[in-house]
Amino acid sequence: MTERYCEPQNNWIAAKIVEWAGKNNVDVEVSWLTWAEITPKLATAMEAGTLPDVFYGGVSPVLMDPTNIYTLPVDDILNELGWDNIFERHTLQVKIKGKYYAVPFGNMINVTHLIKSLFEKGKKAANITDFPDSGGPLPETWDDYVLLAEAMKKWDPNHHAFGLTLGEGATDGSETWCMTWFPYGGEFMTEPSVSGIKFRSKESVENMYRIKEWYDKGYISPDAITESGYWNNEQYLTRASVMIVEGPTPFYKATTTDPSLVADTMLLPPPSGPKGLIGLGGTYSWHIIKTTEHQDLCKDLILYFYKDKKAYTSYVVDGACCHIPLLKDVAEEAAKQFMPEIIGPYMEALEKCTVATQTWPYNLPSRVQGEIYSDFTYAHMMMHVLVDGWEPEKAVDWAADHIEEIAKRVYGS
Amino acid sequence: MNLSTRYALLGYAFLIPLFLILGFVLFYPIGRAIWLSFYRKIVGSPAEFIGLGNYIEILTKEYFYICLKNTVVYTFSAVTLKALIGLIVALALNRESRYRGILRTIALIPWTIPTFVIALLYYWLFHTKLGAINIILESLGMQPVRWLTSPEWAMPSVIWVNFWRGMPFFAVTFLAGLQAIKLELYEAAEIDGAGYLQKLRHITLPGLKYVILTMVLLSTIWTFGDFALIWILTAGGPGMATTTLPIYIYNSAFSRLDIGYASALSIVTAPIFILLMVMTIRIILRGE
Repeated sequence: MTERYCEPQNNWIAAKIVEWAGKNNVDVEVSWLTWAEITPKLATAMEAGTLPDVFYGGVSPVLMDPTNIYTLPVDDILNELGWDNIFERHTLQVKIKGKYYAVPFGNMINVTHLIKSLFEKGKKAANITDFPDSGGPLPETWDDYVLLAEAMKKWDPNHHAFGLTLGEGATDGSETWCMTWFPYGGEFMTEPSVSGIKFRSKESVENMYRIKEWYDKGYISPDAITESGYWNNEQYLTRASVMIVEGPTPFYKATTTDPSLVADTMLLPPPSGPKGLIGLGGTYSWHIIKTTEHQDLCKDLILYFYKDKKAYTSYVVDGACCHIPLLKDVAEEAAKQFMPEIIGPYMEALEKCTVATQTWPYNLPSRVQGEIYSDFTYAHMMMHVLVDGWEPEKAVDWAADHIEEIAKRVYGS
Repeated sequence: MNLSTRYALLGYAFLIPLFLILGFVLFYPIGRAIWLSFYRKIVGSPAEFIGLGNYIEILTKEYFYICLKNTVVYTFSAVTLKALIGLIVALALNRESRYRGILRTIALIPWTIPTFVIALLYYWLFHTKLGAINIILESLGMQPVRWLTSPEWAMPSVIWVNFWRGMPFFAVTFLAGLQAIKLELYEAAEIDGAGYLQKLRHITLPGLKYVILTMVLLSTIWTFGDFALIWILTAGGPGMATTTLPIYIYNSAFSRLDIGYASALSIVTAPIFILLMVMTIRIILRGE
């Protein structure tokens, strides 16, 4: 199980498992992983032959690389849940060659958290009424947000508008790269093969220059370059930056610690680019590992989570609706119960965006992506430029060599 | 079989459990690491024999030398500070004073706190925006310092924390050494008109020679292999500013999942430790 940002949700899942186990007279053992542990621990367990029966977490690149699928098809579970009541777009990341290999439980997209009071101060300092790309009072594109960043500097030269994490040790550094790269045409892979890896490109170099420029101009905090530096959640919760882009997990944290910040927050679609509104997102899913000897029990356990819709709705609401559930009726009920004025725009963003995973545009799991995610390749690349003074071309080549080396090993030369 | 042979065999029999344990926790892991170092072995993929490939990659890659340099800088700076300040503190604590007992206790406190607790404490003290040190600096009208997040300050900061953690052990050990120096030597020197510095140079330091050398070597071994402190404070960042060899080995094994390469790195680093251990043992024996 991948631990989630929301303790009540973790507890709910654990309690449900125990409840199911009690009703079915089954012994269960639950272990928790952090995000950064997913690939190393699953890969190690695969090697040692100690994989669990069920894995719950982000769609696993180790378990579901299309060239070596380690999970069982679950079409029957989805059929039983009823396609009329399922958000089909949530299932696209787990559909490989026409079959579904995991059951999505919650979908999330990284959205802009905009702190209204700071935003108004910046706009006033720079006399901004409308943003050029959006044509309206709210920014839409990264170029609009750059204008906002410049405005914030007029208001306070020490303000760092982009609450982005860059450093190693935090997977958010990888997400910063993807969120700025994809909307400008960046692509990671188009198919599961060595030739399908598209990282080495002019878009990658341009994005590296872009991040460097923002860093040099102070739009990004200089502390963002380390894991122990300024994590994006922290920048939002301490109101150090006017905006961050993250799944609304920091927003959830604010609901429990700082109601005034919640009232001061707008959740907007993520910044877009010339290639459109491409939002980095993912889905937490239930995976049944193919080595299990208890297929029927695993399927029964998974269905158990969806059957009690009232409980499922509470689960979603407990997490401040940051995870949009698989089932439409649950989503509708949750949105009514929890801050519709705030969650409404978030759900609209999810509908408007093209949802990208880190393997965009391929968008299915890849072991290659899993490995570079856990070894922080993108963050190391950015550090080589921002700290070690490498030219962006050299840093991108370094990262491309590493990614292609992994691809050769995973997919064969 | 005569009695002495039987006793000898009995002695060896008692050693068998020890050798089994040593084999399990020492010889087997070392042997396995040596074996793995000749393979490209990524967790989850089959092992591929590459001979000296890992070693060639290590020795021809800039990374290794950056990490080696960082390790040397970190170790040399921290150990020197610990030794020098530890000696000064020991000399101060050796002086007659009614507060000597309580001062000795206070001086030892950092040594008694677990390393990870100290690292977390300093992580927060050093925080750019929220740390107490910068809050104090700003209240005095000074600019905050990016203690852990700037390449210029990150290494001095981790060196400081290592020094703060380890200095008390030096001080207490030197203090014990000072107690062993005969008072008559100081009295004789005073009669001859020797001043404080002369007594320090001709009595104290020679008397502490083996203690100093042993402590410096032991601390060098420990500091060279230090992982937890740097990992918690900076995780080796920013960039490679504080990436030492232990951090590099850890990242190779558990982030890159390349345990063949990580094993080779460990083997390459081993001679340094072996040399230090041999020197330490020789000095201890010479001192005896």
